[in-house]
Amino acid sequence: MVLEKMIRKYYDEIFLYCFHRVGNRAAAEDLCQDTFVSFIEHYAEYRHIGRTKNYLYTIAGNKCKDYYRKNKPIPVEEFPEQGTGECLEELVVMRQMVSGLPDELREAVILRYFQNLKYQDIAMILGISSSVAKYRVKKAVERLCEMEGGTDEVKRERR
Amino acid sequence: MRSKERDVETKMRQYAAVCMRLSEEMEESGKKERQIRALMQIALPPRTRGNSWDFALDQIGYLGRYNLVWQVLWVLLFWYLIHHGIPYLGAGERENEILILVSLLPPLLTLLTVEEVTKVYQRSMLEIEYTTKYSLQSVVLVRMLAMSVFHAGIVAIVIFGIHAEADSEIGTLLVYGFTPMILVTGILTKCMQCCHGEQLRSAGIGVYALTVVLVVAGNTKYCGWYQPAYRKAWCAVCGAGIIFAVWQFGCLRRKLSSIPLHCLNNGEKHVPDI
Repeated sequence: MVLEKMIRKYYDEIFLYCFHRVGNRAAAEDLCQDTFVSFIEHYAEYRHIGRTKNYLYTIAGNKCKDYYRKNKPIPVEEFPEQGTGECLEELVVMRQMVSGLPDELREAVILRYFQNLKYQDIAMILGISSSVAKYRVKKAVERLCEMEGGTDEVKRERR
Repeated sequence: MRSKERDVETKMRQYAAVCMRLSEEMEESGKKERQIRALMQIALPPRTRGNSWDFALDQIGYLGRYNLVWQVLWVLLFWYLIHHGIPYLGAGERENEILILVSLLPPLLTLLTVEEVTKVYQRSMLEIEYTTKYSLQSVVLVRMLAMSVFHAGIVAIVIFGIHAEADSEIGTLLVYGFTPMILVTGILTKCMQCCHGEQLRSAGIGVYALTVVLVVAGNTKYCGWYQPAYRKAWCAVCGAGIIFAVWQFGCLRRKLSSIPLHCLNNGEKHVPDI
């Protein structure tokens, strides 16, 4: 019962994290399910060193890395059927820019802005220090700004 | 540049908000429910899978490397002190010093057991992982038993080692070694029924400090508890200690079975009555 409550509590969050990492809904569903299966199968070996949520994120992150090893990165195709017009287009562009970041910056930025986690949690999930987590997020944002500068120029040229 | 960064951050947050719709869609289609049901099918078997022996082995496996490090350190400390001694402890008499060390060091292992068992009460994964598979009562008692038996084994081995080296009488060493350990175990089991967490840890240290005082006092001319005349009294105390420890173990078992699990898992600050 307690376990079920916990799965329900974190299911959406882990599913979205997997989605942000792989950009494919079906794959994200499978990865999310795999994450919880691993969690259930291995929790007897788990020693408490932090929050359960972080432990789940770590498992999910590893599953996503395994997924990348087996599959070529899929360009982001799916998007929720909500929002229209230029706003949606901008968000899609933003998502594609995030996908274009190096792996270590991408996972940091996903955890910070898409999953809204604290630096301390990000550090624990990625196995790095808080200052390194901050640095990676900052670096990722800078890169995105640079990329966005480029896309703005393309837009202007189109006009 | 700063406004550009803010713009990027805002867009990422907007994107995350739009993506929330994905999980809503999943819930609406009933897929999430099916997935969770499937997970619970995997999660349920542990209660029925395997027998009690497997469960006990699981718990022994859980005790893990961290404890092993402390146990190895304990053995090394024991060995060092037996060979080099503590100045003035035995008032210069080698045999007295050995007897005092044999009494003083085993209760330290009991403190390790308490420290380990205390972790079960943390509101964390531990409650979830174990209380969903087995009752808290089973977890605590099996861990305590596993650690106590293991520690008793270690103490017995080092006592036999001392017997072989120092040529002390084995019966005397066993009685002086196990009596304080059994008494401290009984008292700490009693403490576990009244307090937990930091309080329990402090109680453990307090009980050990008292043991040190009693053992060291036993070697003074005022209270010569280590004189051969007191040997029978030690045996009687050892017997009484075993009865007391078993009784307290039973009391703890009853106490644990009365703790509602939701108290442990709903993030309440204090677990009532334990």
